[in-house]
Amino acid sequence: MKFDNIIIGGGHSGLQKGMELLSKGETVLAVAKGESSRRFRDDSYDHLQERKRFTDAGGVFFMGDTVLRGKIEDGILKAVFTANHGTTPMEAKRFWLATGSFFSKGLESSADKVWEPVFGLDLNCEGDHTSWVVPDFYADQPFMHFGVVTDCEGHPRINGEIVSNLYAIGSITGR
Amino acid sequence: MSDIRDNNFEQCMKCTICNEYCPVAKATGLFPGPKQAGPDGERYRMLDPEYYNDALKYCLNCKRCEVACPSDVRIADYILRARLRYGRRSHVIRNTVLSRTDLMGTLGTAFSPVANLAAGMMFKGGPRYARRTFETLYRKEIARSQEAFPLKVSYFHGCYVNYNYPELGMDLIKILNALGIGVRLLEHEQCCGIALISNGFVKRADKQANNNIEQIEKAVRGGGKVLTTGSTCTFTIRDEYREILSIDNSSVRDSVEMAVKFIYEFITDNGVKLSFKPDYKMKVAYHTACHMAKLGWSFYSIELLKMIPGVELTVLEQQCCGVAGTYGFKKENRHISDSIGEPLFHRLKQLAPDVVATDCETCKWQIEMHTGLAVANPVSILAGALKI
Repeated sequence: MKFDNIIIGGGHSGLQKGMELLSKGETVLAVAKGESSRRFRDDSYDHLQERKRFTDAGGVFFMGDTVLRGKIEDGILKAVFTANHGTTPMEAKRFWLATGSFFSKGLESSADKVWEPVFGLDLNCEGDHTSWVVPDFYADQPFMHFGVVTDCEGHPRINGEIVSNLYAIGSITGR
Repeated sequence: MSDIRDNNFEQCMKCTICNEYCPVAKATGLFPGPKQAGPDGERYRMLDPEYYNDALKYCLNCKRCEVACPSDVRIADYILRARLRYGRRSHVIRNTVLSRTDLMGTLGTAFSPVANLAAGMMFKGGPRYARRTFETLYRKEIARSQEAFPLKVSYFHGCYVNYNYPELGMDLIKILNALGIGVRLLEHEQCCGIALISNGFVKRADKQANNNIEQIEKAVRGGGKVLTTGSTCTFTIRDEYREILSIDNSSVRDSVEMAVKFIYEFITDNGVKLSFKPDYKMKVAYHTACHMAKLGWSFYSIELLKMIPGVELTVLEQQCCGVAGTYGFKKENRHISDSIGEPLFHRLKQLAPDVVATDCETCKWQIEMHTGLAVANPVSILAGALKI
């Protein structure tokens, strides 16, 4: 199936971007792993209402599906593949990565590394795990700033190479 | 000590979104909710089976908790597996009758006037038996013409099409033939076994699952797909065989898919232009069946319906109709089942569509029984709109 835009992640950032794209008359698919985690931080945020606005505006929302990998050729992301749709390629002109941070599983980690699970994008994470945390639990923790490195237009990189039709948005971005 | 990373419930971060999505927890206080019944309870049951709670039987296995879970925890699988492992058997005779859809179907079609009279007294709307099974119909009237088509697919019709509603199978054949595709049946299809699984008859379910996998393997050897028209049969073969029965279905899983997915992809990949009846007008409301939501494939049904000129489509808010296969047909679940479905029935009565579209046969019965509206599979609606 073909769309103008595919948003990977169905949280607040993804849907906000989705609304903007829909208002320009473009077609948008958002793939969400499950319910958004934003509701834990913000009582006034109504995830169901936001999703309804998105689908009412013509957005397609895949709930409970996971983007597993992408097909990248010459620095262009051609298609992504999801758990539910198997070998069916989901093609788009532009892709927006809005999978969130650790809590939403946009980033994953073990004791010795942090990684972005869909494409293996370059991250701003350096050093070993002793430098990722500070002993004061309530202090600003370095690992909370980890995320995808982008150029000024929001393109992430894989091994230093830009993916020209992929954009990282929301808390997946390093800061 | 085993590696605790193997325990998928370790992924649960206790967010409770599954409880918010659970139709049963909303309808009754008897069920502790998916989080407690699933990942939380499993921890204790591993320690001591005495922690098994009989209230787990109220889970209707809709899997909506798993669809909502942001951490990929197989919540409903934990609940169903615990029920099979620790649950006590009750209502054995009734549950046998309910879960042997194939046996009842054979009897029902053989004595269809009597069976339908009896079913009619029990349920307004709901299941009826066909005069002839789909398999008989296919072998007598269809089979010969199918070999001439250059492309071929196999069709897993399921009990519903075979015994209750052969028209749906015929509608699918009509569409596929119009696309230039011939339809074969499996040599020896058996019931997918979901009713057996949910009623605790694992041994028989195992046997049928193994038979079906073998049959599907045979059919897809050298490529090709096995198509289905029932979302629950599809889901059972693709996921429940593996997750609940622990049967390796990897050789066939990707080859089994809903006909709507196949048809949509065939049309869009090959740029096929369907020709529709010029004056077709239909107000359609699409209800996403729970297992269709879990498969994540309602998109295909919705897009196919949108292709039909003259269709005025409303996609209903995602909610369970409450019947969940055999669940809603049990006396002790009846009030839960009805109150789960109530918001859906209310919405449908408000909308008053010409037809409700859904990919699930038991949803069809439930909605018919409670609203009196006509309910059809998207395949049948598409077939009815085509100019052939």
